[in-house]
Amino acid sequence: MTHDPGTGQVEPGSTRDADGMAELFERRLTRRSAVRGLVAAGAAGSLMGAAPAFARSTARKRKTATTITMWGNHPEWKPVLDRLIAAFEKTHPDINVELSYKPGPQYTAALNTALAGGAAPDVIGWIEGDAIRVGAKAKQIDALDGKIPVAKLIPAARAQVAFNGHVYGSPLAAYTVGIFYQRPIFKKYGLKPPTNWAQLMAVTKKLAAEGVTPWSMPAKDMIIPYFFYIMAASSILGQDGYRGLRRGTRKVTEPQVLKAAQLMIDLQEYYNKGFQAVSYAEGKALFAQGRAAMLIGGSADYTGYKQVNPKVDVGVFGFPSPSGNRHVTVTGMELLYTVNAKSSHKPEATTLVAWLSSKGAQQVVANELARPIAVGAVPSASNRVGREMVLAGAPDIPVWYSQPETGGTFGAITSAGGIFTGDLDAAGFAQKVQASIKPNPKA
Amino acid sequence: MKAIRRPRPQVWFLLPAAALYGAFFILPTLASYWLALYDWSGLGPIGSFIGLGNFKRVFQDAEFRSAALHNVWIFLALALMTNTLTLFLAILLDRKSWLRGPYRAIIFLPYVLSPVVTGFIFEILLSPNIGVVNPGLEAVGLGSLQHEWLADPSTALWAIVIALAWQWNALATVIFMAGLQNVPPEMKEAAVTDGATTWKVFRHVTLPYLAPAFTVVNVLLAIFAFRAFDLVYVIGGAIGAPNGATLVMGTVIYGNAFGKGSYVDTTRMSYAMAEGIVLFLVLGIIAAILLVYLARRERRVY
Repeated sequence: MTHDPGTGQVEPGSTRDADGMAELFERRLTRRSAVRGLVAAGAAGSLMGAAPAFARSTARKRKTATTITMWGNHPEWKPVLDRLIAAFEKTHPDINVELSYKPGPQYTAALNTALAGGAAPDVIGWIEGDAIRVGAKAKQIDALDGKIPVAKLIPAARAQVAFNGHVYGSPLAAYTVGIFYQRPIFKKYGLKPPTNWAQLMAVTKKLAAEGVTPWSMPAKDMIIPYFFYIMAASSILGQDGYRGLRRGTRKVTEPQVLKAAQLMIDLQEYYNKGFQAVSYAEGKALFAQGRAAMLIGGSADYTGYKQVNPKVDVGVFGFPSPSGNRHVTVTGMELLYTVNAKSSHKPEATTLVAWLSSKGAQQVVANELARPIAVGAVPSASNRVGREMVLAGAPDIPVWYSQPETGGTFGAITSAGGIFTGDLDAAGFAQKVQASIKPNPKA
Repeated sequence: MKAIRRPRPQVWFLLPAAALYGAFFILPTLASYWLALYDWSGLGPIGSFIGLGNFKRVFQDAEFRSAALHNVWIFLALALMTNTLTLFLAILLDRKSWLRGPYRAIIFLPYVLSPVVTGFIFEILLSPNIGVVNPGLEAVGLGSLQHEWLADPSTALWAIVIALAWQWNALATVIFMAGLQNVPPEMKEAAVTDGATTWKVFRHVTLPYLAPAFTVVNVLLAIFAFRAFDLVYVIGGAIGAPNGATLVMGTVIYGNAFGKGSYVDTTRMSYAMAEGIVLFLVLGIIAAILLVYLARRERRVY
């Protein structure tokens, strides 16, 4: 037994145990020590008395506040969304929101797995396009008729969440895809955003000649090549041409439209090194660090660039058309939030989904995140990139995968990496894309 | 009168495990056989009955065939390495040396690592942007050998094979070393006394005693190579970048079941189940052939 002088405790095995015990019993109880003891006992008693009251109050709060779960697909949005959720919880003290993130490329797989396993969150966010319709048909989500202020949503947002005579939810934000560029690099070499394809090629060559990697083109998951192609093709087709594509009166295999795929091939030597093995996230980081001058990106990506490099200084322009008579951007919706039909907290989940489209929430989106989906919310003057994105977005064409007729193009293009390996030429690539389009004369 | 036979006590002890195994493995497996006969995306109500339609499509699917071929290449490359280099390494490590302990630990370390971590290690090593392999080659004067290993379809699969080999080598070495422990030293000594050379001792004494180890190693290797998924998925992604050059059956099945890791995915759960069943059958046949062949060889040896 050993004696710990610090604690006064006696440990087994010490030979000094008898001495220690004797010393302990020999201590005299003085008046001062008695008073100290009484005060300490009183304090301890008060604390013990207060503890149950404290516990009761915490338990009451816990009992009254319902926790609902929700997923996001942009981990880089966390700081802003934390503020957004905090604002919601402040006005709705009886609801706690547990927001977790499944990164973009893994999001659909994670959601599908959760839905199959009955573990989806209370508030389900769908990628725009067919998924929400499939979910509604499978009765995985509830109709929220009369609970969402759809009239206050921009038409593109409304089209995604209101269908088959019902309203199912609200997107958090919209995004516009354009070409981000490093302003310091462009300034250093006296370059201006190109307005036609000849200028686009000239800018690219100039940057390469100066030893700058002109393009970050992460193609491991083929997400950025997808957006590059649909923007290049949209810049040729224009809004009417895209409508023609959906109706079947135009085709991407037309010689004029083939140029879009050819442009992607022609620029290949100017993409970042080993681009076919670089993921979307890594490609964004390369650009944000200034290791490439241009990158196809959405308004939602800007927050991510800032996270990688807080000093990032970028501008944005729409995709130039071949002849320079227009710039084109494609616009889509971020996650479309709905209420899980299996949720045991449907009223709270509905409150949150409805609140996401409120003016207050949408102003935060406009100022700090992406394009708002509520009519009237515009980026603040300090949000230069957000404003540039809105300006670049005219004419605006829907992201192809958001429309039923061209929804299959995503799968077709992401599995057509042969365009970069030489296994597919522009015509072969376009044929693959055209085969995935299901025209509808009534579109 | 016939006595009532009571179940033996061990049956009661086995029952909980058997019930769990049945509920969480046997039943879902049987359910997947049934679901493979339907057209079901994995979401919502089960679609229409299509009989063997999914299985027919599996055999016509060029992507699945190409992925299966990649599995075959992985198996052949690892088999070649295992039965030569790994065996040699095991023999070296079997020798008495004070370095044997640390070497064994180092060799076994990759097997302890998660395949996902191994995948990330190799992805980072070979990354065109932050990788150390190319700068390393440059630093030692072999700059001409620099290559975009993971971006070139002709090298990407082999980069994955190396990563898999690094991990697989660990277990194979340990099994061979266990086999080497079974070789009676007196047999070797007798052969040496009879004037046998080192090679002859190895060929006619050591190798026959290693027959059971060869059986275990090669059957496990077949399972390892044909079930490869996590490490391959980390390096090549769901679409087997570049251009499907690194797709294996596991990644194709996962992509069809849960999506290909993109924004917009359409899932084909029933089809993925059919692919999974085909993989199971292929693996079963290969394992059975290997077992029969190697067991026969074992019997010849003993």
